[in-house]
Amino acid sequence: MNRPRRPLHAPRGRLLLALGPLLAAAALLSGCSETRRSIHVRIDGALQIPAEADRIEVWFVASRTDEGNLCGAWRRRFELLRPEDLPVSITFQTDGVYDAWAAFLVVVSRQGEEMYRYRNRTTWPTEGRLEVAVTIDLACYGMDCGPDMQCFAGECHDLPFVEDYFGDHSLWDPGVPCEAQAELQDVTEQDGD
Amino acid sequence: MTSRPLASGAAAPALSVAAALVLSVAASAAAQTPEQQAEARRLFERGVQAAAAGDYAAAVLAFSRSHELCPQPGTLKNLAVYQDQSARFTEAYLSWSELVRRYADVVSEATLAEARQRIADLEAILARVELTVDVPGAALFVDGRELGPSPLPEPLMLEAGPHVFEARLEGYEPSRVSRHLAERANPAVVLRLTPIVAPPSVLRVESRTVGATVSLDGAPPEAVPLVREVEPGTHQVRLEAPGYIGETREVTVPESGEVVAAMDLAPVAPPPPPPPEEPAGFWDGPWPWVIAGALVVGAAVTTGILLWPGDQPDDGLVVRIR
Repeated sequence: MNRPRRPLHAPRGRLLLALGPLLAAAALLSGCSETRRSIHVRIDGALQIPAEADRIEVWFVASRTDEGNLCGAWRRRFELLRPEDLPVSITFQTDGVYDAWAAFLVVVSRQGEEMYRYRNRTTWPTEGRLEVAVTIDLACYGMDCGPDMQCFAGECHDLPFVEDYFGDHSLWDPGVPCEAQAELQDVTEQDGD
Repeated sequence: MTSRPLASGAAAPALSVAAALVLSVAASAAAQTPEQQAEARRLFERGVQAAAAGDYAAAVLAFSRSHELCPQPGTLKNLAVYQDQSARFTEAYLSWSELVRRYADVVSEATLAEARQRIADLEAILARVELTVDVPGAALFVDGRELGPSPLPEPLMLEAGPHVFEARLEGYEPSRVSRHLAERANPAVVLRLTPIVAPPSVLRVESRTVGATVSLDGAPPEAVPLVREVEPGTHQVRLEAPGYIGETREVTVPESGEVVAAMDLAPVAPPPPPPPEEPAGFWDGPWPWVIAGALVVGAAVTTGILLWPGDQPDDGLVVRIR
C-alpha cells in the first residue's frame, strides 16, 4: 500500500517561524541585551616582518567625561617575530564608566628604533563595535615629524590632540588603571603575548 | 616765541616767602612718611639755594619734586615764582592757578593777591586752547608732556608759538596735530582717534578625506576646505565623512591671524560582504529539513557563543576597560 508522502515542499515561512524562536531563545540565554560597546583596533601594513618591523607598542586611554578625566593608560608590547604576527588586533570593551571617548597611540619600531607613530582619538560607539583600522603608512615609515606633529601620507600635520594622554600621569585619575582587572603599576609595563 | 619779562625783583620776595614757609613743610605734612617729609624738606632747601644762586631751572626742578612728595602752599608758590623767572609761563600759570584753587584759605591775602595778579598777567599773553578728542579716556599730551585723560577739566593756557597736541589710546592710532599759537588766541584743537583695524581671525579647516564635511561650533556641516572669519578663542571643529571615524578637535584661534586645522579621518573597517544568494531549488529533495534543522541548532549555538559577554572570536586581544 502506498502511504501518502508528506509534502517536502514546505513553504519557507515555516522555517523562519521555527528559526525565530530558537534564535530568540539562544539570544536570551546568552544575555545579548548586555553586549558591551567596544572599539576594535586593527593594526596592519605592508611590511616585511621582522626585517622592517619587529615590535608594535599600543597605548590606550579612555575618558569618563568629555573634558578628559582619564583612566591610567593601558599599554601592551607586541613582538613581531613572524609575518603572521601582523596584523595586531585588539578589542577594547567598555564597562560603561570611562566611556566618553578614548585615545590610542601606536608605535612601530625596528631594532629599538622608532619607525612609525600614530595616535588618534574617537568616541565610543553608542552600541556595538567600532572598527578602527590603523594602516602603517609606508610614506611615513621612518619619517620624524617631531613631538608636535603627525605624519600622514608622507607629510607632517597637526596632531589630533596635543595633550600627552599616555605619559602625563597628572591627567589620569589616580589609582584607576584603564584595564578593569589591572592594578595601576601593572598597566605601564606589561609584556606582550 | 615772544617771552615777556615779568616784574623785576620777583626772585627776592619769593626767597623771603620760601624762608618763611619752609617750616610749614613739616608742620602740615601728616599724610607723608617721615622719610618723604625729610626728602621734601631737603629738596625745598636745595631749591632755595639754587634760586639764590640764580639757577632757576634747578630751583624749579627741586621745588617741583618737593611739592610732589609733600604738597605745601609755600613750595607751590616758590615753584610758580621760579617758573615765571624761567619764562615757563604755561607751567607758571598752572602753578599760580593751583595755588589759588587749593590754598586760598591758607595763604596770606598778599600771596593770594600776588597770585591773582600773575594769573591775570599771564592770561594776557597766553593762548587759551580748547583741546578735545573724540574718544573719552584718551591720554592727552602737549609738546610731549602728559596732561591727563580726556576730557580736560579746563582750557589749556599755552605760550604763543608752535605746539604739538597728541592723543593716545590703546587700540587706536595716535592722533597728532601741530599748531602755531598767537598771543591771547583762543583756538579749538580737535583730535580724532582712528581705531586700529587688526587683521581678522581666520580658521581654515583642511582635510584630504574624501567627502569630508566640517561643523564649526555645532553649526550645520559644510564642505571642506572651510575658511571662516571667527572670533578669537577656542572653537570646536567636527569633521565627518561617510565610512570614516568622525573626529572633534578644539582649535584655538588667536587675535589677528589664520590658523589651519588639517584633519584626516581614519577609515571605518568595511562591512562584511553579504551572504551569497541561495541557489534555486534548494528545497527540493529529501534532505533539506535535516540540513535546515542542523543549521538551526548550529546557528542557535553559534549565536549564543557569539553574543555571550566576554571574549569574542577573531577580536584578537580583548581588553576590558572600566
